[in-house]
Amino acid sequence: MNALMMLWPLVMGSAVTMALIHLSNWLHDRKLLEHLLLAVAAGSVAAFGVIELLMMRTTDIPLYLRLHLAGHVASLSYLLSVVWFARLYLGHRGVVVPVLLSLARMVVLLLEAVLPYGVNFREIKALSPVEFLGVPMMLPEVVPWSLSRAAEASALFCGFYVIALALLAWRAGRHRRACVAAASVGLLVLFAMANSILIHTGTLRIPYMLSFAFLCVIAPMGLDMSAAVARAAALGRQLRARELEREELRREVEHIARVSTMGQLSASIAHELNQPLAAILTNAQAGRRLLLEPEPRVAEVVSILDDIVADDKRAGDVIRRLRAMVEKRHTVEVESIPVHELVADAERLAQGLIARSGIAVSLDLDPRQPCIRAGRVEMQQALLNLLLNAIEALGGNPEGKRRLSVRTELEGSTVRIRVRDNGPGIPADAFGEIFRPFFTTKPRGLGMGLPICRTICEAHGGTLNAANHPDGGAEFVIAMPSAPPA
Amino acid sequence: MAEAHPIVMVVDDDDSFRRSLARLLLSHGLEAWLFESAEALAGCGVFPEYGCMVLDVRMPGLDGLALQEKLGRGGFNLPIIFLTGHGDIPMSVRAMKHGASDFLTKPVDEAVLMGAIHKALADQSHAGGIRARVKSLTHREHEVMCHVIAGELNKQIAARLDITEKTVKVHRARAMEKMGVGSLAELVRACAVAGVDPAGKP
Repeated sequence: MNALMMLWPLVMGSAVTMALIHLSNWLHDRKLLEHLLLAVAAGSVAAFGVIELLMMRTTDIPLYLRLHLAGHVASLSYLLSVVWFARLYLGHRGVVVPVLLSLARMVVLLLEAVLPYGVNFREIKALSPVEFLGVPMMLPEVVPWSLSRAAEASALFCGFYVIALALLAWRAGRHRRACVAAASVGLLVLFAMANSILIHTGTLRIPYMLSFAFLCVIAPMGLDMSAAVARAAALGRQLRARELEREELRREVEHIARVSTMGQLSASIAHELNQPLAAILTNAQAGRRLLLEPEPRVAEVVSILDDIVADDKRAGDVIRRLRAMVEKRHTVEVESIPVHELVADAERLAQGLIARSGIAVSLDLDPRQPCIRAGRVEMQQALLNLLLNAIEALGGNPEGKRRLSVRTELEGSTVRIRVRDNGPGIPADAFGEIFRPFFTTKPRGLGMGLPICRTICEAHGGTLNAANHPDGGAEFVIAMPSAPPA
Repeated sequence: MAEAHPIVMVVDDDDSFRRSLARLLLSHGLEAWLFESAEALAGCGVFPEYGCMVLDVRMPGLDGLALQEKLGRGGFNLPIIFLTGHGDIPMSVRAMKHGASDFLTKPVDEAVLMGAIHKALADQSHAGGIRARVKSLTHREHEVMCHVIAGELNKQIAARLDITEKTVKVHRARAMEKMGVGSLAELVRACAVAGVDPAGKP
């Protein structure tokens, strides 16, 4: 086999590879239309290569003409995809010229299909064997006509259009892309046009070798696009790393806020732990004495031991809740949680403080017991924060007039948790500020509570909003998408 | 004198702790009346003649200190032992100023608690005895005694009550005798225990 004949399979292989690469890029992200166009162009080149090879072997004129028509179809899809690709690649917005060029090429294809010997030839007299660069092949003996120049001009204009876009891109400072496009299209214009015109005019009897030129046009741009994909991937990795870093920081801040919330609750928690411990001690001392009596009261001692067990569990629960809140966690465990459980747990943690502050709490929980998908500890933190804010806001109310209500409701596919107090409400001048980090109205506040609550809710696809209730006091509303129960 | 059967009133909002304290008191042969809140105690109406109260400071509703002050205004005279999860100095000062018998923190050791209860009961029975003696005084004797413990001289008392100095001396001697004391200092102390108001009306 001759070295020349090795070129076609090489070109087709490269074209198919390129088409697959860009197709997969496009499938990966459907917004990357330029990759799709490039894939079509490369696919057309491969088809062109096949057609060219078949044409060299044909001895039958009608078959030769059908292959010529097929070549025009491939060239239409090639030129159109290159024109539209160049428009995207070089960042041009105009559509008039590419539309006109597309229409022109379609007319050319129509003529090719309608005319007896196609658009390029007046007549093909015969197919006769010729040796080209040492390879024997069948080539046509043609009668040329000038209509062929119009067809060639339409292809030439496609090339000019790309070069014009390259000039504009150069002016806009996109030098690399402009050079790549202009140089590669320049090759096409020189080589492909020379090749076609020589055949169409019957000047030289040589085979079509357009697929080489076509590949030369798109290969540099394709390589540049692939480099862009690689750059984008690297950028994506960097971004992801940043994102992870930010996520880590966010969790860190959330943890600090949780620990500080628990600090605020420490007296309340100490009280909760102290009660069962005191009861256990007293029970144990009483039990010891009852057993030492001349007639030990065993039944009483049994009930003492039952109480001790229950109190021990009570203390254990307090510690477990506390530990869950202060433990440092590296991942958020998202699960389906019934909101009434969240409310009850948060209320328990704040119970000591609520009792000491003389606040009447009313819980109005939706009997359908809706669930949300979220991190349990995080949501509890958010809810607890809202409760603590409300408790603090109620400090100015006279004793006996401090009310706090927590309400859960399911409306459509949204679960709402409303935390409302009858305190002074949110001052008008602070309204836009309360969710801003470091904004605080408290003398020792960090200003991180509400922003963190909002971030937590938003991280789980929900929202947190504040309003002053028409009947007085502030109302904070967490709205989350509802989830099926676990 | 004091009844043989003292009652310990326990006011605490924690069910389990209340029960445990009742058992401990039972093991020491003491009867306990249990109340879950100040409001529940107010609903009780009848107070024992002889006994004491173990009172939690931190309770929902009316807290222990407020209850102590309210009871004090109502003439309640049983000794009160405070028992709290975490007491601070202002809290204990306030309690002691209003006449608390003791101020203990939870969890409390049996010996400490029972010591405080027995001391309170002893004080109460002592005070009860003295109060019985005070009750045995005539109106005039009581009146004179009040002026005496306020530090007035016989002559001043005579002038104030518009009686002779000699009569004052007789009433004073009678009062000293009935109160079972031998000196003015002892009389003052006994009156303090029984809560007699100096220069007050009998």
